[in-house]
Amino acid sequence: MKRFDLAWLVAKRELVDQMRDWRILLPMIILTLFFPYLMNVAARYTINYVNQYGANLIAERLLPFLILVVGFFPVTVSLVVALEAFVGEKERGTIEPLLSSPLQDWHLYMGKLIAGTLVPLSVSYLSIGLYMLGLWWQNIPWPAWNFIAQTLALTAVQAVLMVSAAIVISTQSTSVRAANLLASFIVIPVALLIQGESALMFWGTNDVLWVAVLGVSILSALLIRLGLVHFKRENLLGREIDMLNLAWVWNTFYRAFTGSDQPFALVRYLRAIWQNKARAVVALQATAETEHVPPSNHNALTLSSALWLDLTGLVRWYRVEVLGALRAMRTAFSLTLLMGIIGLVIAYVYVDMNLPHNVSLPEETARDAVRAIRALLITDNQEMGLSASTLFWHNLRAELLMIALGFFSFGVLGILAFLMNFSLVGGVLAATQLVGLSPAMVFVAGILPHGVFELPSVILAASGVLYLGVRLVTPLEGKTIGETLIITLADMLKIFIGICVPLLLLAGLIEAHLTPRVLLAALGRSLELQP
Amino acid sequence: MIECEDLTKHFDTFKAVEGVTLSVRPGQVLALLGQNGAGKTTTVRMLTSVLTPTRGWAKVAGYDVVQQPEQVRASVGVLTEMHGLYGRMTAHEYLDFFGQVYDLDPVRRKRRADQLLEYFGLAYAAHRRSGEYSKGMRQKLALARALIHEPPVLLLDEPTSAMDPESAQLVRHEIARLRSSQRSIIICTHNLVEAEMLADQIAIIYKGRILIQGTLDELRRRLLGPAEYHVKLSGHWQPQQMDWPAGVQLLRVEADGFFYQAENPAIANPLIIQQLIEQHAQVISVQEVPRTLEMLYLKAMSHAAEGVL
Repeated sequence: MKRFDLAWLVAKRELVDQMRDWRILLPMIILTLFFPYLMNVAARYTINYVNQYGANLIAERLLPFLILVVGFFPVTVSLVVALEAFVGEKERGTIEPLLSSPLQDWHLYMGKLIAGTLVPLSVSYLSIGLYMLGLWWQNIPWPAWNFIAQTLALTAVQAVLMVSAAIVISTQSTSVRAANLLASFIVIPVALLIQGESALMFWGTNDVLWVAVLGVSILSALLIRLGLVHFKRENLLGREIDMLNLAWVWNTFYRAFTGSDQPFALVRYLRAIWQNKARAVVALQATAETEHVPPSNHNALTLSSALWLDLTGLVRWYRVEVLGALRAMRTAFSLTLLMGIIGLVIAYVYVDMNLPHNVSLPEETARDAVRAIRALLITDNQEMGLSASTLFWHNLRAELLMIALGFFSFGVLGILAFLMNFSLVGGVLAATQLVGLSPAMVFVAGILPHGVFELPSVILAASGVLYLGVRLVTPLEGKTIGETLIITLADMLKIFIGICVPLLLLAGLIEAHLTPRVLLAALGRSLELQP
Repeated sequence: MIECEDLTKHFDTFKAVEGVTLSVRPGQVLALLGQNGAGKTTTVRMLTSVLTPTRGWAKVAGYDVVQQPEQVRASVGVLTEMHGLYGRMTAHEYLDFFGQVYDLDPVRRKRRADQLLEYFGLAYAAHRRSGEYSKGMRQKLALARALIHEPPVLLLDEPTSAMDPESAQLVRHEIARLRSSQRSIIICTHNLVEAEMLADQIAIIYKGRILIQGTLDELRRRLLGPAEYHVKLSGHWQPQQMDWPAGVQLLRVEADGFFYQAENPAIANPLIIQQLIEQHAQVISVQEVPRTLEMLYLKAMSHAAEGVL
């Protein structure tokens, strides 16, 4: 039953409670009054200072940035309220009557989310209002309305992002102390985000800020979904102690990754040798003391049989585990491929439409270009300019970076990195027309030989990132966030280690040894030069 | 009505509750007794659909705890181990909030809140924040919260802990009154006198398993054997002269009398007294030896520790 009034009931109680707590009210009042004043003083002095040198642009760009700062601080402080939304009630023992009531999970979750967002956002907007009032009072012109709208939107989505992350932490923590310690995982990334947004503001690329608003909104929505699907009454009451169980983490991962509880046969073989060695020492001592030592039964596994077992195990792993993971990721793969093609085509069309056509290079410049490319690709002593290992490591780093970015952002940043890659290919292909080359030729000769292996590898790695994001916000029956994360990571690594890395190795070899020759041959013909 | 069969809850490898089967009819009170950590609270949490059973099933007020959790929670009044009050809310606000949670209309909410506060003697403090309340007052307010929606099923964890004797008696009267209004009630308690006073059924839980359950008389019979009597005499008396009726066992003879157990005291006791009179024994008194719930409980626990139960 969708009854929003019950979610609002939970929120209302929480809001009234906050308004009666001087420990929450006092810092908020101080921040609301003090920060706008401080920023007004800062704005006045900065404007006076930079205007002496005619650097009006700095002052112009500083004003919206200060709005962002004024809005950010109250949100950060009031994060405490959201952080203890569930875990605080658990500690005080007030959560159980609520959990035993007919309220549904989403009533409780949304109620807490609303209460956690409304106060900081109101305080934040109040601060911004006071700051703007201060500007007007000092006859400092306000920034353009577009700027103001952007900063207000950014403040709102950032508040929602921080509060939704804090509520996720609150549902998963066992104590307020643990939740507060985990808060740095929210504050630091959001502070970095604000730095990025500030850079965009000072750079003057304000339209991009709307993209930032969209990105942060998507991330917030994903966080809310993550929190909702993993919100379990049982977990709130069941967990009592914070304990990092590394053995459990490893065992869960190992089982998910290998599909077996057994260690590798080679490991068992080496372990048996080690144990037999120890037995031999015991046997020597026992002989001396005329005691009987039972013979070892660990000798059954020989080195060759261990290797054979591992080899058949590897075949089984590919057949069952890797193929299984591939099947699970097929939708993510199709979507990633589609996004890649769209990104590539859009970039190609954009560059094609915006660059001048029919630029004819002087023959000498063209020759210089070919020489430069040749020098880059093949050295004087006919060795390859870039070695296979260099190319492999470069590509591997790129894929790892994409995975790492995706890991911390529900796949969003990882997919963005992937799209940038494909868009770059599209843009470069379109740009080759500038020097009179055929994009199709460059694609076939310069990308396709190694791309046959590299592109599937990149697409698979990116689909793994997308898969990770989707799985985190889709509940696995009876699994916690931690288990879901470990199992999904294992699936992703099966694809990465089992397919992506071997493909990159092949691509590296081809890119170093074959592609340059094919490309040079093609370029030579194209520019009427001999390679 | 509360029914459960083979109700089991495991937390990873820890078996919190194992195969609990209970049945509490309307108008009955079941006292769930056991050590701390025996599985009482976990059982109650499964019966309120807060925890999902690992195995088994339970129906509360006719609703399945797994399939119909919201209906279950709407039909149950729960008094939790910790009172769970919001310290910055007044008693009236608190009851009004839970009245809304249980979907009572404003008029009924106000009427119920006033009634309960009056009944528990909290009306004078209705507009004081509960953070200022004494422990006993908080417990009473928590009980009022559990009753706000007049639930057909009550699950009460330590209902009179921290209460002064007068308040505890008040709460016991309230529980007895609720029982007579055809509610099914489970009380988890360490107060064995209270359990003895209120419960129709007793269940003793040990390490997640129900050791023994039944009425107090059934438990007495099973754990301590037939009823025991003490005959107090004045002067000399020879037990060899007695012809003991069937089902009677002489336990011990003391200077001032003797103890015996009778399977059927209604028949055996008059026969014994008659013989004593015929033998001119001077009978001062014949009394049933009191066997408290505490004795039963301790016996059950020692049996459990020895692995007999």
